[in-house]
Amino acid sequence: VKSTVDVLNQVEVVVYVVLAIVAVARWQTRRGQARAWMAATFVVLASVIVVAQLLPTTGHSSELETSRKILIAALVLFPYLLYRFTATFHQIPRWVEWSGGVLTLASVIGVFFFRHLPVNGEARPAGYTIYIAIVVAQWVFLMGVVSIQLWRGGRDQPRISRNRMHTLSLAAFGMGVAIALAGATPSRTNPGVAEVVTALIVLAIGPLFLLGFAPPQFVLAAWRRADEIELRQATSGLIAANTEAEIGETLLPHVARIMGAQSAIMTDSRGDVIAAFGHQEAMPSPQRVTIPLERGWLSVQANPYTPYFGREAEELMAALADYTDIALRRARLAEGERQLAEDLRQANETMRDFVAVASHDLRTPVAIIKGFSNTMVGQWERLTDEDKLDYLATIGRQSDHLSRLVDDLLTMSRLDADAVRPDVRSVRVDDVVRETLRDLGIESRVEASVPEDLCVNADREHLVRIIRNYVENAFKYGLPPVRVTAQEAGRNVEIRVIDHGPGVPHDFRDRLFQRFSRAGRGRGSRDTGSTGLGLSIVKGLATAGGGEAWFESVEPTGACFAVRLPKTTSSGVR
Amino acid sequence: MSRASLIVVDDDPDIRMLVRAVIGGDQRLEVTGEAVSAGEAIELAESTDPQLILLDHSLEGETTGLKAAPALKAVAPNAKILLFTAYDMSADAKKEPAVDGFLRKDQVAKLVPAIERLLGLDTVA
Repeated sequence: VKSTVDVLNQVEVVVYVVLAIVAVARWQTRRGQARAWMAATFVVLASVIVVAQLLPTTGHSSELETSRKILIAALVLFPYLLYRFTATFHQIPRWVEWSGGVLTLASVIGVFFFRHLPVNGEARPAGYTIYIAIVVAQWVFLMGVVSIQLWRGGRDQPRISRNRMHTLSLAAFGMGVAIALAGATPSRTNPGVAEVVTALIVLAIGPLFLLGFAPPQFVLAAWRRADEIELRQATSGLIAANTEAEIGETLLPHVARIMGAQSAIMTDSRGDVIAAFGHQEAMPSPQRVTIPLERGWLSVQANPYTPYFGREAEELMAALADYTDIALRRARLAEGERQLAEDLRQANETMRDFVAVASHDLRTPVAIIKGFSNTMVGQWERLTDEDKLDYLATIGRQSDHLSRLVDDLLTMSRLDADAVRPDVRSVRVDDVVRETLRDLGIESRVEASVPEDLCVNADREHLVRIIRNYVENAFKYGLPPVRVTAQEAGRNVEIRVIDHGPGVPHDFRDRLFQRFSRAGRGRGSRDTGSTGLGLSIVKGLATAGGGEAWFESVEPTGACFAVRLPKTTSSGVR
Repeated sequence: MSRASLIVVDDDPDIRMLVRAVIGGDQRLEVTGEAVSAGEAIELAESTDPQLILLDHSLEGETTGLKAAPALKAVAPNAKILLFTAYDMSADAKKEPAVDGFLRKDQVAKLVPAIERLLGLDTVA
């Protein structure tokens, strides 16, 4: 029996030294509190086991006694260090902290109160037996805490994390049993069955610890098998998904299962959610595992154990993120093609509508001019002078309208063909506003609030046309008072024409700057002489000059049409 | 001889004036009313029971001339409806049973012959 125990002890030395080396190596590779406690735990344990093998089991020299005491003090540190490792993941109840600490302190200090430590075969004095009982209690208590914490914590973890944590839990439990057994075994010269069993347990626990904190690849491969099926299912789902949302919906349940998480989320590069799985509210940011995608992120709910135990699951998730990127690239390409086809269809429809409306708007004045001319020629004698004057006035009015329409259509087509080359110079805004209002003969009816030295980089003719259009619209569709304002806005100048009429209907605002858009059927050329192209030309001219044109509503009623153009200094004013 | 009554449904006052001018010299025809929207046109057709409705497609309000045609036919079943618009809508007009004829506005010179054909009037030389 003695030789068996000796052999087992020799093997133990090898196993625990290997464990210590692996633990230190892992800590060196990726530093962290948990890894540091784990390395310290096994370095201490391996040192104790090695030194115990080297120390003689008999004799009572003072050096030997001191060495044995230090060895025992170090040995009782093992459960405490392992407990500290567990405590890095969870807040441990205060009474447990205190009990563990007091028992450990008592075990470490207590050994130094004995002048002579009994060796195998010697009778144990009562005080020493009590001390052994305290040490056993410390081991059993701390190992119990470690075992329960790891077992409970492992329940909701990803498969590999769960297996690792449960293995560590079993190892801690086994260590507690081994110490209890050793403590209960009476002191004797020749070891018996109890010593063999204890040695066997301690030996078997070594590989369990190894499986727990550094599982070999073949074990990982076995544990990962179910996850790989999940991975395969996820990738086949990704192949079948066609849109970003479909990819997200297919992927996230698999990701959540692989990570053992309740919820998962996929976002784009702006942080907008593409797809979500499970309840997101219980997901504070520190408890997330986030894997970057090419254009976004994949996030799952995590827990304090994830950084230490969840590395393999994170690696699987990262692999899945790579497949996701490929699927997303394909989906974006397909979406781009769909969008292109849709844009072409819309452009085609817009062109067809444009041709239809343009034809209609061109034909109407032509029909009226032709109709009245023919009538006057055919019925000259029958018509009264008043009729003739009415008809001629209508012909004149419709000719003007036709002329404006043709001009606008030509400007529009030049803007479309990018053939408008603005003659950009520094222009004084107040000059342009004053000149435009004077030309329209409404200088006294408009309140202009434009700083004198404000200049923009613009084509003067284009700016005149923009302001003219806005002001004409304010009088046609809005109500006085009409105001023109201009002010600096960063590197730009914003010019606004504001009226206090009924404003623009909500459902029409999106179409305001579109061609031939008129609020309400029948409104437009009939009532106002508008061609329906004014605002779209304004937008085109503003854009061609490096600016922007837009609409703002005015509270409580009214409309504000604005243009933004690059600001410049007053030098070079024409 | 009684004159054939017709109503003009168009939101453009110049077109309404033109129609009056074009058929004003024809003793067989008489414009008995004008309307600018589908609603107005239906009321007018019901009250005047015209023999012909000259109907534009683009009207005030949301209802177009083509959409209003069945309702007009329902209130004035004896009236012929001539769709008179600047849009190319001859195919749409053919598909709508309530519409009896189509003429584009720029072919205004053919307005009287088109009305003669629809009302079965003798062609004026």
